[in-house]
Amino acid sequence: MVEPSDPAGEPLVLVSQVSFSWPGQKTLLHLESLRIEPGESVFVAGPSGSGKSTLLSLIGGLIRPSQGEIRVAGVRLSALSGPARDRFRGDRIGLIFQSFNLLPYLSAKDNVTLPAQLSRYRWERARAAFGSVGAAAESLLTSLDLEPELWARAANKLSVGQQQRVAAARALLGRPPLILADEPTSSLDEPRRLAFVELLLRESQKAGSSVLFVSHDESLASRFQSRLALDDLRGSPDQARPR
Amino acid sequence: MRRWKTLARLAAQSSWSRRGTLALIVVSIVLSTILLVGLERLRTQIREGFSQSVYGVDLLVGPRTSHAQLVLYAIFHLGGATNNLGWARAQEVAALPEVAWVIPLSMGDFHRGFPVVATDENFLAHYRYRRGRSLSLAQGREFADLFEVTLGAEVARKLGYQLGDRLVLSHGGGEAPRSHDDKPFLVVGILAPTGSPVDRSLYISLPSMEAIHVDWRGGAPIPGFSIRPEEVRKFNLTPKSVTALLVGLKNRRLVFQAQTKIQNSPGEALSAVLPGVALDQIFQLIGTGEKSLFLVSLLVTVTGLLGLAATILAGLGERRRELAILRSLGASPWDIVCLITLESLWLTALGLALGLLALAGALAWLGPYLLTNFGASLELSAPTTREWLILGGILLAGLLTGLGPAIRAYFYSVADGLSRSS
Ligand SMILES: Nc1ncnc2c1ncn2[C@@H]1O[C@H](COP(=O)(O)OP(=O)(O)O)[C@@H](O)[C@H]1O
Ligand SMILES: [Mg+2]
Repeated sequence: MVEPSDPAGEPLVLVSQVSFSWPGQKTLLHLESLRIEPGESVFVAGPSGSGKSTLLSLIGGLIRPSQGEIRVAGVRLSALSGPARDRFRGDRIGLIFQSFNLLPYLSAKDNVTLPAQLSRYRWERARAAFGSVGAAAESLLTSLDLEPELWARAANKLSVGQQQRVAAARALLGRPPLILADEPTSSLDEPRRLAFVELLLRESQKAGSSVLFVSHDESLASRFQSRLALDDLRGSPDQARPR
Repeated sequence: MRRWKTLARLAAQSSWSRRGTLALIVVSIVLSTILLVGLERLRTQIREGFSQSVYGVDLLVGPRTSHAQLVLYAIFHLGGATNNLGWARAQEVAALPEVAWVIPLSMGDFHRGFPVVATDENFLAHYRYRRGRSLSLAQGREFADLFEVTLGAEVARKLGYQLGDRLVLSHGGGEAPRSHDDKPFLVVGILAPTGSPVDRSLYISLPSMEAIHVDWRGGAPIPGFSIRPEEVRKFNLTPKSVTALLVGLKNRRLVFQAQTKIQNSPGEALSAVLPGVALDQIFQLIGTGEKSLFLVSLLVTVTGLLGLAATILAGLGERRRELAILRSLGASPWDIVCLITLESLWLTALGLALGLLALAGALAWLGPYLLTNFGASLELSAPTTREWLILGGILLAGLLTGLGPAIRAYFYSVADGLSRSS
């Protein structure tokens, strides 16, 4: 188990000189530098197909960059073996996917507690804060406006909006330092998008987690502390990091 | 520990959600189990039934001939006796100090293809079959007087005889058997089924055998000379010869001494055979069929397991996303391997358990039916060591079967599974 060193002043996420291409395709991403401070909320905008999901996969350690270095919580992801990266991700990163990716055969509540079942780190943090993992899940589901009568319902029998809130609760459980959210609002109608983003930001602030939120929907950007465009990150070497 | 519990619970919940597909796998494992264990049991019980067709008989004594021939003729009533054994000589054997009892057998007549065996009261008293069971009557009583017959279970069932029926014996089983229609027999008893050659025989007394042949010479009626049944009692009906003797010893550890003594005794040359040994030798000869039976059931099991592998592999495609979700939440590739292997393991175990239950149920239900209708004796009993080995083999094969797809899943990349939209 790699214990992340957390020297003061080091950002939670540091991406430098990273480039990536999918096999057989031309270079999709070239990132000069990207920093996310602990507790910071960052919005990354970019049109569809520009590589936003790919960026999250890189930071989440789901794929490896062709070049460059990615550090999360002081740990160089490329230094970790496959299983160690899986464990590191399970411990430190909460993921919310575009299609939510809930396990259909588990209840809403069991989906939420799953990260703690697979990660001791998050199990202990959930227990430290709420006494038990179950209580942590219930508290999160309540904060995210999911009525108790839905908690035992199978995930595939929930509405899209409900599934999305379950996915958010799952990412937040055990207060991982980093939440990666991939267009989680794309399947919601306009007024509810903003409401969801506010809920998510409120809860991650409570948990002390940083949030990296990617979307093509610029109207959400105002709620975040920083806003970046994927194109800006790609910049030439002399370009400073835009803020 | 908690990780194992989590994985086991996930495996259970996941497979429950796919129960429709998985039920088919379990059914195929159930069928494989029934076939493999059932055939194994059939095989061993056929063998046991065969080599214990006669039980507790220490020596089979007959005129000098090959051991196999003597056994086939005296026990299974197959083939023909070349010659007989004089009654006086038979009495000598019975009188030996080592001998506890003797069952005389006299054969040669048939009734509609079933052999007729003439014997005495020692037959019912001392004859034993599989694991020492004694004969019992399902109906009526043992033959006693002249022209009384007791039927084996299958004879009665196949020919539809009941107590009080009359039947006629015929001389020899050849193409044109000559009838003893002048002296019909009365059915006085029917034996309970045994799953041994006894079921296929008719039993009469030695004097009865003598009586139907008083007006015969050399295998044919004496022309112009016929004696009615009422008059036959005036004749001396002591048998002149018998076909074979089943001998029980006082001390069966002395069987080899007794065998040598009988074979070397002066007078008519005799063969004395240890029936168990001879039966085993005969079974070795016909046992190749038994091996191919095992091979067939093995193939059936391999087919069942290939089905398991194919279904799990095919299911992986639709589970890619599920597995990727687990990986994204911190499950390692090894966890995925465990998850899939656990699934195939417990599916196999479930199939095995259900298969054994079904087999036990079938045996409890069908056992008596098989015994009466096919003479096959299949009994409910705890699995033998060999059967445990077979069960263990299936379980191991199930585990290994799951390992293949599991290793394939190991190499699934996470991003790949997640980027697909639902
Ligand atoms: N798993 C993958 N394998 C190969 N190519 C991929 C994969 N995922 C994405 N791509 C390619 O990378 C490009 C960017 O995709 P993506 O990162 O999903 O963009 P966005 O999330 O901004 O819409 C697309 O052209 C897509 O074809
Ligand atoms: Mg995307």
